[in-house]
Amino acid sequence: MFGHKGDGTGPARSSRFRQVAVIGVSIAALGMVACADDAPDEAAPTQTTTETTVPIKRGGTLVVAISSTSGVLNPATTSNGGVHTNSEAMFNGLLAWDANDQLVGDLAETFSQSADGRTADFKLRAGMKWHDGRPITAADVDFTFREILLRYHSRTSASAGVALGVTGSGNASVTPADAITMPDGPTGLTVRFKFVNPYFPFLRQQNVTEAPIVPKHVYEPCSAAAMGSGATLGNQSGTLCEANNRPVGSGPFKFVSRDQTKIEVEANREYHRQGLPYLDRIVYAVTPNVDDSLQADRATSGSVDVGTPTGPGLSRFLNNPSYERTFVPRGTGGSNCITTYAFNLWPKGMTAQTIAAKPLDAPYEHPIFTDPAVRRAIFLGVDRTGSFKKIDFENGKLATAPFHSELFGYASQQLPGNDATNNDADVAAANTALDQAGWVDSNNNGTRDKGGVELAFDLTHFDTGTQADYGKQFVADMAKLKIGVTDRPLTNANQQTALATRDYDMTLISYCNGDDPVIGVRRQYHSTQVAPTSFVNSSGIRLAAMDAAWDKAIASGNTEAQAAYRDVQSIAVRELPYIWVTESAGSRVTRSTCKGFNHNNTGLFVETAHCA
Amino acid sequence: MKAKAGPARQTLRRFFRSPGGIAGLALVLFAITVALLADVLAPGNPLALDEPALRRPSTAHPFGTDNLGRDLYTAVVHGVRTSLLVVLWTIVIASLIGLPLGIIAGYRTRWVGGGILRVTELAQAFPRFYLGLLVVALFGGSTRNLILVLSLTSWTGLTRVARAETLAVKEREFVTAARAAGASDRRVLFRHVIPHVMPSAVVLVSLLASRVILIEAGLSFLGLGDQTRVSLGFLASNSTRFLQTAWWMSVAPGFAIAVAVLGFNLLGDGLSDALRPGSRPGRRPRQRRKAEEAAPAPERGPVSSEAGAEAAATGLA
Amino acid sequence: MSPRYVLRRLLQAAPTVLGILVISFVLVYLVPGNPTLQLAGENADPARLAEIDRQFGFDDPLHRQFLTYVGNVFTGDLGFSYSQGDTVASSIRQRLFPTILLTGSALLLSSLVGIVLGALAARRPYGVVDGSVTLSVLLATALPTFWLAQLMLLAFAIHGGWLPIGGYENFRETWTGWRHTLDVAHHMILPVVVLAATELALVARVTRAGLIEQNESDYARAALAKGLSPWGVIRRHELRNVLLPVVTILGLRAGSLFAGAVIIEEVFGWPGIGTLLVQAARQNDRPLMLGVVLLVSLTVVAVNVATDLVYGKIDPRVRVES
Repeated sequence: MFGHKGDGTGPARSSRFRQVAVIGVSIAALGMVACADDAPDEAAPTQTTTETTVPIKRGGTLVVAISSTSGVLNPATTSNGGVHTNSEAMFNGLLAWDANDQLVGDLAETFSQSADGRTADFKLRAGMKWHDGRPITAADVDFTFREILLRYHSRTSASAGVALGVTGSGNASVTPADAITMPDGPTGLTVRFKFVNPYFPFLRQQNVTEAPIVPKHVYEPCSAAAMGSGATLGNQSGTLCEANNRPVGSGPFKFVSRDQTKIEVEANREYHRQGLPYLDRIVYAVTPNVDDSLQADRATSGSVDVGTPTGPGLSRFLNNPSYERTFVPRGTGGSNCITTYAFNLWPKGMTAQTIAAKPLDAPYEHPIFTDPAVRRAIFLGVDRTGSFKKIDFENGKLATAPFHSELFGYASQQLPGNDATNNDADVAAANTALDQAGWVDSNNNGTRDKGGVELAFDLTHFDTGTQADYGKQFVADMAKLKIGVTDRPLTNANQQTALATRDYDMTLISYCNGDDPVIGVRRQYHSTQVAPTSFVNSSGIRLAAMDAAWDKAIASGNTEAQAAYRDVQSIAVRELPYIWVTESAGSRVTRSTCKGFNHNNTGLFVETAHCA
Repeated sequence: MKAKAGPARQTLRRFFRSPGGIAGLALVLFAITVALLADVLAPGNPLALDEPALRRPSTAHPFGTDNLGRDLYTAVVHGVRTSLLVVLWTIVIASLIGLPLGIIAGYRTRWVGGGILRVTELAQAFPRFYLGLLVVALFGGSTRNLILVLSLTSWTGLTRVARAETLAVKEREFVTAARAAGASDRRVLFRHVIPHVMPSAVVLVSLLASRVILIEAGLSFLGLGDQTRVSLGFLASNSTRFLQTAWWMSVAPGFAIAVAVLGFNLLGDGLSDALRPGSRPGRRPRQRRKAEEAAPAPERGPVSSEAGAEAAATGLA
Repeated sequence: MSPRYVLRRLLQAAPTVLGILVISFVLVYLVPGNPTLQLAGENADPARLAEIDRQFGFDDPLHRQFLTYVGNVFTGDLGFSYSQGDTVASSIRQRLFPTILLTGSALLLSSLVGIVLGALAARRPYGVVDGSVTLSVLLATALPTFWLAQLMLLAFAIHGGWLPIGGYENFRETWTGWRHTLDVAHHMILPVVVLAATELALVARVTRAGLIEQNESDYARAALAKGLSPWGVIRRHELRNVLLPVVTILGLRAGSLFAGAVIIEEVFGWPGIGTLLVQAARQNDRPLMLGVVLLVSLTVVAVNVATDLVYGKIDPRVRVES
């Protein structure tokens, strides 16, 4: 049951963005944060709420199951779901989603966007403090955007960054001085954003997942402003910035300790929302082997209160009256996520800089994937339905377009193999297509080849959770087409490095589209998004027509934008730089005696939680 | 080899009188057969994911299927082949290195022998599993790397045994007599030393095999094995997620490993018993003295891994 | 045991230690691939990469790097672990205790149980008891560690619910003192039992063999003739001789225990250096991998030396072979 919820609350349909239904977008990833860049982890929206009659008991410890404690504890520096799961409870965004899925102020007391969409203003609440007691001011917002979000957070920099006129990327990116201003000065409470073009999605990306705010005085020493090109703030695999290990935030919970088995946070009694949080302490506990069955067992034995199981573990939870299951509309990895295979259209290892220097519409250069027949045949050969059943356990639905079906601008497409009723792989057609394109096994070694090039390549992806299974499935699918695939499961950090250096032939990413195509989809297709960072334009597609469609969509009102997005999608389906597999969804399971979870608010779902 | 006809037959007779040894031999032969005939016994691609997922064991799928639709019977059969392949190559290479070194060390004890002993000690100091982990993590988990690292750390036991046996034989009367009569070193080597070394070497090889199987499974379990082959260890690690829902996923590979390891252990024990009735006193206390070409009891002394202990060792290290 | 003996034994170990250092270093630093990239992570430009090379000494000639490394090792500086965001020494230190606890307890348990089983078996060699003990011990060792761990987990923790499902301590509570000790002990039961089970065979067999041989000896026969029960003989005359072979194989067992610990820690989520090593391996964090392997190798060498020294003390008849 997907699609809009019955009551359809939220902005009218004609507004820029579609209201995300409570049920629908979810993030599976088995709570294994490790999933794709934005592998939504905690997922599953459910119909909780309405615990109005339950008296709120203060205190107690909540135990949340996670897959790993490794990684930086600074959610502004990356869109990686794992990092966000582990750290979001310690931070806030300017805005947040309340229990009715309405956009409300979080750090900001008031917020507005001009009618022409060219500016956005925020006024922070007075008297807020960071965990170390220092006041929260406009300077922190300015610093967070300029030095972190617009440099390193893949979704925000790819969307808001473009809108603000940011040039360059990573440590070298430059935000125009007038893009972000502080009308009352750095110690004041007001911030104004000015966009190059009308940019309406901005408010909807002001939350702890897309744009968490961090204190300047803590993180500045590691920033590019302080260290130049040697800045370590964005470093994900090195945590060479000590501050990234000891987070200081504004959130309802503050950092206590971290070791290899758990992360402990305790209540922030100076939190800006009076009376919150109710809980004393949260322990994010690692469940070995990312085993959702173990999660279920631990839950049964009482050692875990919140988990994100899938498949077999989930069904055991459903039969357990002590637990409730909720579908989560947005996860800590993002919302509206599609598991996607990407073809590297350029030679493996060719740097992003080299590619970005080429003219638009330059012919692709990858020895295998330059051939569109190959891309199409591989698309036909991927068993999308099988993967959906076996790996996602049918949580979510099959992708039917490059856009997520809940996303504004979505237009259903005729994907290869999709005959509108049956999305199974068409192995016979794929084999025929390859034969006709001249890829035959001329040297009888079991793999096709053409012109001396073997039809063999590698696939990188995260080594945990569903992605590991997807890798194995892909190898088996391709074997039926006599294509040799080397499976390369990588750790979080290594996969991000591989993506940044373009060291892959194909890669698997869970691209979270976000609440507006500009937030999470543009980065996959725009020519300027080929950069030495992870989770952007991994295929390297650089077409003038595609760029034009995007630029038009961003600058237009709704109807023109929808038409432009239709163009984007049809170009994508024609070019096939990616294979869209499933719109993943997942469930979060919570103990029935604990209430008050706001599953709309991603990692801050614990803000209002209380346990009997 | 004529001199060995009598004792050899006696050894064989003793071996076939021990139930453990026979059982071990049967299991090992079974495992080898399965490995050799893998394609016949389980036709089909073990990496294929075409079967319905998470099916219980049934006539269609004797061991059930796993979460991705692998037929576990096919996977296990081919996994046994992978394991035994690693075992075979490791044994061959380790023997090719270890036995000659040991024999030389026993034959020429002074400088050469001492030097070889030193090197052996050094090679032995490395905890094998950790080194294996290090190598596959750094160089990739291919079967070739695994074989290399395992064989390069396993030859030490063979060297020690070969040296001990060579030392023992060297001083025997018929050898000194032969040499006095002018037999060349090479003749002595081939006619007397090597035949004497082989039996103990075979025992050790059998026990080595069981250890290699466990190490390979262990590394694959940790996800560091060869991704392009089906490995019993990988199947086992994959089953952890489904321990309760699909218990058969864990039983099939675990059982296969256990059977193979048990087989090699029993075989090694049986051979050891048969070759040296004196080394397992208790059976015929009085006839202990009559042990013919039994090697002397394992050297006592501050050697942390005597030949005897080495032979008795099981486990991962 | 003379000081000369001690010194000689220690000196014997020196080339081994050096050899371990060389081989580890060679392996880790000569591997193809670029650790600099890992250290720099994303968003690194050539200037940053060069700076890391300089900072970590990657641009030095290899022998200079080796000497620096050896020097550092002796001062306790094992480098920087980029996956942990901490120095290698510190990362290891934090995880050392759980592993020591695990392997130490397993060592004790397997020794005790192994000796008892061996003694039981030795009472009547090749009898029923002997056969069943030998077989079950053999079985326990034949079962792959991870399988036994999974089965025990399933039986005792998941279905039985008596023992925790992995982990080191209760997540929820913050117990201290004896409550905490009890908690850890509770969590320790399954991992230690499984690790000890895989170790049993060796101890039992060696004890059995030793005891049987002792039973043959003259004084044992004399004692038996005098009317002492077999148990009595064991207790009075042979304890020292029983312990001797067990001590001898300690070095061998050390390596085996550490190896088993890696798998046990993975399955049970036990936060020791085994899981640290596996994490490091998955992340391709070379300094950390090197640090752990070095530590374990050197520990095994140390155990070997120690057992030799102890052996020399227990059995003064022994002379060192050079």
